[in-house]
Amino acid sequence: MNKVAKKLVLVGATSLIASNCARIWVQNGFNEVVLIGRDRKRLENVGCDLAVRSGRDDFSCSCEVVCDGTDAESVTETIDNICRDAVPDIVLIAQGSSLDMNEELQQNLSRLKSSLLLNGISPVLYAQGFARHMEKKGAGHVVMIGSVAGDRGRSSNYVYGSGKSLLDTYAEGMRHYFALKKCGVMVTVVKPGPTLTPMTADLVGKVKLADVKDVAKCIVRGVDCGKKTVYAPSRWRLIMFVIRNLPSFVFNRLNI
Amino acid sequence: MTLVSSWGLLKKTEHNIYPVADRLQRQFLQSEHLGDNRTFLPRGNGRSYGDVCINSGGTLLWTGFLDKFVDFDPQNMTVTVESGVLLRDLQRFLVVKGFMLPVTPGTQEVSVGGAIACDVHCKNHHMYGTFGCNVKSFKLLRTDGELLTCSSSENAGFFKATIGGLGLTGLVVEATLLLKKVAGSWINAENIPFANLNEFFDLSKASENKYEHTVSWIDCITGDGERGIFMRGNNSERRDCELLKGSINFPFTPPFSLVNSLSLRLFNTFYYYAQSLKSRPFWVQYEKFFYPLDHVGNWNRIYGKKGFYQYQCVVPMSAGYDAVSEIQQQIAKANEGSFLGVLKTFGRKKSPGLLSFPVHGVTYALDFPNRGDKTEKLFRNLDSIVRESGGRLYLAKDARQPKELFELGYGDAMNEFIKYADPRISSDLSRRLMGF
Repeated sequence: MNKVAKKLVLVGATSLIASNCARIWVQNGFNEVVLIGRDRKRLENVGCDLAVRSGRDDFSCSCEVVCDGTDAESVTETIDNICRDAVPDIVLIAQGSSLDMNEELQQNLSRLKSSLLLNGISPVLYAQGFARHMEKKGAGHVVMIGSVAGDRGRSSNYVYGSGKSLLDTYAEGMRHYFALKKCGVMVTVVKPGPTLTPMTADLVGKVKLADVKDVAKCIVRGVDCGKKTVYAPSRWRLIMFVIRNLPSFVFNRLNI
Repeated sequence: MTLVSSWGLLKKTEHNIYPVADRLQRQFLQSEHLGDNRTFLPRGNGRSYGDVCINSGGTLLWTGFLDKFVDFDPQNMTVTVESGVLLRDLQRFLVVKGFMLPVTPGTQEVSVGGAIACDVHCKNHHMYGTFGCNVKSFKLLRTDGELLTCSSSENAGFFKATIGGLGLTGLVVEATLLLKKVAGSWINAENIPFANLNEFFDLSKASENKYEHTVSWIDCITGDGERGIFMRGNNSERRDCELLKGSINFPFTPPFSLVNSLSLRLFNTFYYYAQSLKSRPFWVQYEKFFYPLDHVGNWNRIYGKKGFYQYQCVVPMSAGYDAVSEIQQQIAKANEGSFLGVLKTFGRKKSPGLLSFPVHGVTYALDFPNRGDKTEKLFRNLDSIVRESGGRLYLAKDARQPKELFELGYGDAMNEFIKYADPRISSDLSRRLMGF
């Protein structure tokens, strides 16, 4: 068994995709896990699950409660706290994911603002916060969960999608920055297709939903290979390639 | 509303599906989530064959996301998990640590909650009893929001009613299970061909003291309808661990059943001779030994769009030979047959579950494609054999038994069970047989 300490941080740790990825990493030798989320009891349940699955004597798991992930000060404080002893090897940011109906958000600007803050700004705050520490160490991997909805704005979910698309540009910028600095920090954006989670359960039978375990396997494989963008399941790379490249006069006639 | 069916694919009916996101969640108990029929039903992986896991017009409390491990205690040989954890994932976790669940059914694609609710059994009933005999305790969430810790010493009435209670007493949110120690992932197995039922009963008697796992496949279509393969085995001392990877998937539902007299004849002849060749003891990985059908995902589709029934009865040992023999004759007379004919003896170990199926005797399980009235006519004949032998049918597999046969088999236990049933939970089966 690998005895070298490997540290994993999950932001939005109660997310099903995040916790399923963590199960695989923990089995692959990560022995220190920090969980960030809003509800301590739920975080502890996730931690407990990972501890049992790990089965290692040297496994440790801690929980950090951040009530507002869009508040820069509390995010900074939490990140500095976590990085004090050791900078994490992987940070998986699964913050956000509020699938509100577009029509409601168009009519209510304060809800629109919170959706954009939650899905766009908050993950970027965490990514940049951890990247600062990783830069000093010269190594680390920031993984942000985006969405296929971020690839092209569509009538049904462009508020959510545009929040997520911020992660793409930000990640691209970070990769460029670290390449110029010749620093070994890696940045990956994961784009899951529709996945069966408590949030999407009402779509069962209407849309083909991927199993979260398969999505997690796909993400871990992509991240471990150092990919810049991971589509999960991978068929979404092709689907989104087609959708992105549809000419506007065709795209605007389709209700997709 | 979403169309949902059980593993038998006999009917698809409309349901509200409410996924229980984690064990702290209680929102789903609000009455606004009740469906048209105003009741809930907990549902795990939906692997029961009949109508025990469907609640037409109602709400299914789906436990697929309750898949967290809570505690593993190798010293006391227990594991605590949420109720949606699949036995496959739990077994694979345990076996590399030198443990196994003592009792698992013929598929490992069932949830822990489902295994408790149907009080499933294994090939080792004569040694370990049912799944419920190996449950230490569980937490039961009633639909009024009350969370009860149940064990043989605490809330014992709910404990007995929930084991084999078909999900009708509440939602099991987590359970603590007893484990057994194993050296590795291997079974030392042996296949013995037998020519008739007498040989089967002799082999059963001779094997039960020396072998933990005993089961028979019976060829009810070729030969004289009584030959079969007796499979027995023990957990091997071989210490290494191998986990299987991947399985094939039956990709679509054909418009008609692919199981017919020609395909059955071919399959049964091939299977009989293929298994007969393995008469010398051999090592087999536990998943291949216990769950052979799991290697073909969605194998239920093979029976076509009309689906299929599984008929499983148990009859007391004294009536065992005559009953099984008569069932064989009836099947031959009806020109029906099953590629999955499983014959096994149950031991004397009694389950705590009030509505638990196994009793000391012989159990016989058969699959039949749904051919409408023709199949129902055969079932009525089989029912009368079971009735006369003092036997009963397995509720987890039943989709059609008459109320009167149910009352003969389970009537006494029902009087006690009804005290613990949750008033806001029902299933198609409970409405069909129990009147609520």
